[in-house]
Amino acid sequence: MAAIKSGKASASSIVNNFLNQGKRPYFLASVYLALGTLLVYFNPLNMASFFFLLSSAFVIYKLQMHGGFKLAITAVALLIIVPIIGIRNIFYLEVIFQISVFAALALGLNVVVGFAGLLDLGYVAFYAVGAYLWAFFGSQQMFLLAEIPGTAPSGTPFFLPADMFYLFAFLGIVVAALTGILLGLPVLRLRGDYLAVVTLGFGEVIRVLANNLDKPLNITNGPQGITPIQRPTLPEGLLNSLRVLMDPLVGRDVSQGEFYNLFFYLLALLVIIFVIIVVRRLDDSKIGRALTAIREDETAAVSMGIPLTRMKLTAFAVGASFAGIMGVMFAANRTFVSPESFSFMQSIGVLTMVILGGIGSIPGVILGAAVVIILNLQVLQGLSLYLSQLRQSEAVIPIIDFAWKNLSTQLDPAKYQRMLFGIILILMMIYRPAGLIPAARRKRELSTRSKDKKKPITPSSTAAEADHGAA
Amino acid sequence: MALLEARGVTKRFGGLLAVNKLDLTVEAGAIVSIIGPNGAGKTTFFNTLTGLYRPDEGHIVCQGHSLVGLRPDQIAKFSIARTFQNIRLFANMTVMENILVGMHTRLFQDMPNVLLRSRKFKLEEEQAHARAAELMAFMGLTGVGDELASSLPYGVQRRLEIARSLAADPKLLLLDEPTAGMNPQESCEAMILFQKLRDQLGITILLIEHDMKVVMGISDRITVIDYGEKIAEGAPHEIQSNTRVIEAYLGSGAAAALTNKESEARRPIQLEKSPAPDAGATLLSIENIDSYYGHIHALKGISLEVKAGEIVTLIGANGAGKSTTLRTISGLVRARQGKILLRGQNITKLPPHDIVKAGVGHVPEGRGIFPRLTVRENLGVGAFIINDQPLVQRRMEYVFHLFPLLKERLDQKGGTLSGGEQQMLAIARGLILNPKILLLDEPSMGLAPVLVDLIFQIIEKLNKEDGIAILLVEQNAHMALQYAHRAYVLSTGQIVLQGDAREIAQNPQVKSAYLGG
Ligand SMILES: Nc1ncnc2c1ncn2[C@@H]1O[C@H](COP(=O)(O)OP(=O)(O)OP(=O)(O)O)[C@@H](O)[C@H]1O
Ligand SMILES: [Mg+2]
Repeated sequence: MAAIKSGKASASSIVNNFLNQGKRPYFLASVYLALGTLLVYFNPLNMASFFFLLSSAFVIYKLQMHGGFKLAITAVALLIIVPIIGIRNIFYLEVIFQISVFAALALGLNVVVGFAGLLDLGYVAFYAVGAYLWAFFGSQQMFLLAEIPGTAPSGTPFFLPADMFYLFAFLGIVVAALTGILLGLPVLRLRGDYLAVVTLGFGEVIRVLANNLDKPLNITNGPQGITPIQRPTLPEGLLNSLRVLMDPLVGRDVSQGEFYNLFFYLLALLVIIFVIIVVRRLDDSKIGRALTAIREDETAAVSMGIPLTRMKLTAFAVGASFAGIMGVMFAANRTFVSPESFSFMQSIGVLTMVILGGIGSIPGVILGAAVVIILNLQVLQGLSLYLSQLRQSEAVIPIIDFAWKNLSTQLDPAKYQRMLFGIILILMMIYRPAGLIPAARRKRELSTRSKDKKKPITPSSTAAEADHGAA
Repeated sequence: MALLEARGVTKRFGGLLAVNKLDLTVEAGAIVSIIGPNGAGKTTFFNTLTGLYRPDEGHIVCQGHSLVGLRPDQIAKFSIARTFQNIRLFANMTVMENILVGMHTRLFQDMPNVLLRSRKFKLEEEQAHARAAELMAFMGLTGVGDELASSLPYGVQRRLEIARSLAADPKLLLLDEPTAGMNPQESCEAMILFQKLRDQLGITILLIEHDMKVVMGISDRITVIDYGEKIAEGAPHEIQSNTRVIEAYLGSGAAAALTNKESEARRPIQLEKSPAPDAGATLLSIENIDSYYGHIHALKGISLEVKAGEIVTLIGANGAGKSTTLRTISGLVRARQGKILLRGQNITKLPPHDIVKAGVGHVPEGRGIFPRLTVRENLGVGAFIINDQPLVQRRMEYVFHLFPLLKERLDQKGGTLSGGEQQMLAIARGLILNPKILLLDEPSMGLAPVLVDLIFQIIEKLNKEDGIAILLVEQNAHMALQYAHRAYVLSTGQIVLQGDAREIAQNPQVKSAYLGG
């Protein structure tokens, strides 16, 4: 069969062959990672070296290596390198934590939007449900139900012990999934645009509820938000032994707060791994195939015996549950939640990650989350910082003779998040509608056929013609 | 006991009685066909059987259970599977996955098993994949299992749809025009396949079909409906000679062909082919074009030309590249190499809408009408580039004159038209443009025999009276060769034969490959 590739594709395949010869990829990946680590280790404040280190994840993903080695090198990076450099510059740990949280959200939304094709614009509501769940039970709020917001008497005890957090992480899954089902029941009859509008409304309803449920009973403490929220306790013994290990590597005493950052990072990692496993297993099963079939053609799907409503509810529930557990974690990590964190913009942000990375593609969606978070937290804020430095300097733009200090303070890139999302979405739609790492359907036929060799295969007389057709 | 029993089934759409008090009994192990003119209500009846529509009146009983009021997925559990007239595959899933989805009701994995990857789950998946591979082999799909369904040529998609419906291990299989878009050779194979399904697998078949050779060849019983009502019922030979059926559906030509097998192959060529008006002036010429779908090399250096006033036909097997040639001309697929000239003007790189403006009309395979727009709006879109309102008006009048049925359906949504009505709409939309050359991709697909004759007469008329040159792709190669002046034969992306249509029709290889012997 004449599978002739275009010139461009063959150029990239030459590069691929070159990189993936013999032991070369193993060497490359190790050197890349080591170089990144050293760069960040010795310049903890340099953004470029941090990007370099992050990009090694992509390099490891792309090179063709033995699966076990990939796993091992990723584990080293995530469990040893990130903690050390993360504690040396705690901001990096925060960035990576946020990437993990949003990657989990994006993966959840991906089940709904990517697999089942249901456009959910209020996804962040489920995140809010998880967050407020622990915020309410893990704080003093239970004893403040009758109080006006902001008038908490001092010395109010916490309602539950801090370690109930773990139970609530689990409950977050359940409650968010149930919320998903409750929302889904009336809504899933709608198609396309209507569904998007209703879910958008639902997202806003949850936020407005959070804003206003401070009366008659003060459940959410209104716009001020709930604080403090407990974090689970860290066992002293473990901390001390970790300290002995970490202090010399980091070069100074590691504080309790920094250990909490590390702890939440590891927790988020755990959840992400769990989420990835769930999503992959779903995708490669009757349930995943049914969801994709619904996305492709509802009428045909239902005629194959797929119960539409139940399947869509499943998608909603699974997607919501990921957001739920991440919500609980977010509340504990911040020790504070307020309605602001769950605005419509957040939903759009998560959707941007999915679209940017590649709808339906697991590695794509994770990459999408990383890119959006970094743009948001680092690039835009870095630009803001840079501009404000310029404003204070005497510098002048040469040709148009414009003094930087006259630049309006309104021009603050950090505020241009929306524009950024907008631009990303537009550019992606034009140039790479399938995303940075497009989803690929699994190739299955050959593996099945080789297993199935013994069975007699009776090619019908048209088999040859079918092959021509595909060529 | 009958496997399926429908009594007094009625379905209305507003004032339209699409199905009117229809009775139908399907005995287990039978092959029963439903035929009738376009828009008679055949597909609508299927949709009420499978639960996509709820009948307004009547009973439907399957093995003692009433199906009325059940959802489609519940009805599927009674081992009833179907295919669709307009092919509804899961386009962005692979061939294998499409078949696996078809097995949905036969797989018992639930959420815990899926998440834990239990042994039960793995075993079931393994068996499902093996079974899918078997089905692919059975339907001649081996080798394309990992291709996306959308990348397959039309005829192969039809086979995949049947494979998918078989994956459910149905007792009753509803096939809605399964051989539309297949060439005579393939429909012959399909016929054998259906018989095999019944004889070897014990599957009962309810068939809608416009190909009379298939219907008469394999049906035990035939039900004929017109305007939603049953007008005849009986064995094939009874139906063939039923005057009412001939009048409403078969048309005298097809009926004669059926009763007198000889005449079909040698039907007199109805028009004396006067040499085309200003033969010699080349209207469209294609030089050495290469087209790809992704990495699939679909056209390998095709060259052909159409002179002003000519009817030229492309014939060849499914996947030979006929549709791709038309799509490349109209700019929907980009030629990587070669030139396309329209009256000497190079249109190779023009965007599709400018190619239309230059005078190329394209009626695509599978209709490509806008399902959510009304008939009027669909036609309006066709006229989008014409600024001359009176001209548009005249054109509209003209197409309504050709297809009076469309006038009755002006405000109906395109997606709810019957298959044949959609086909008429697609052709009408192509005509409104008043093209210099019309690219017709399987214009007779899904049309009742009477209308097939009509369509070819229209093609001839357009060519003769309006001087529109026509490039025609048609599975019904026999008809196409009768009406065309010249023909090209395509095979795997290359032209293997060209010449005078009548000579091509006499070519022994062409005869055996495309004309069914
Ligand atoms: N949802 C609908 N709303 C309105 N009218 C409809 C709808 N569905 C079908 N119709 C009309 O009902 C009639 C019967 O349509 P149906 O699709 O059953 O015809 P058919 O017998 O399958 O014809 P064909 O052979 O052309 O496929 C047609 O005139 C069609 O326009
Ligand atoms: Mg029909």
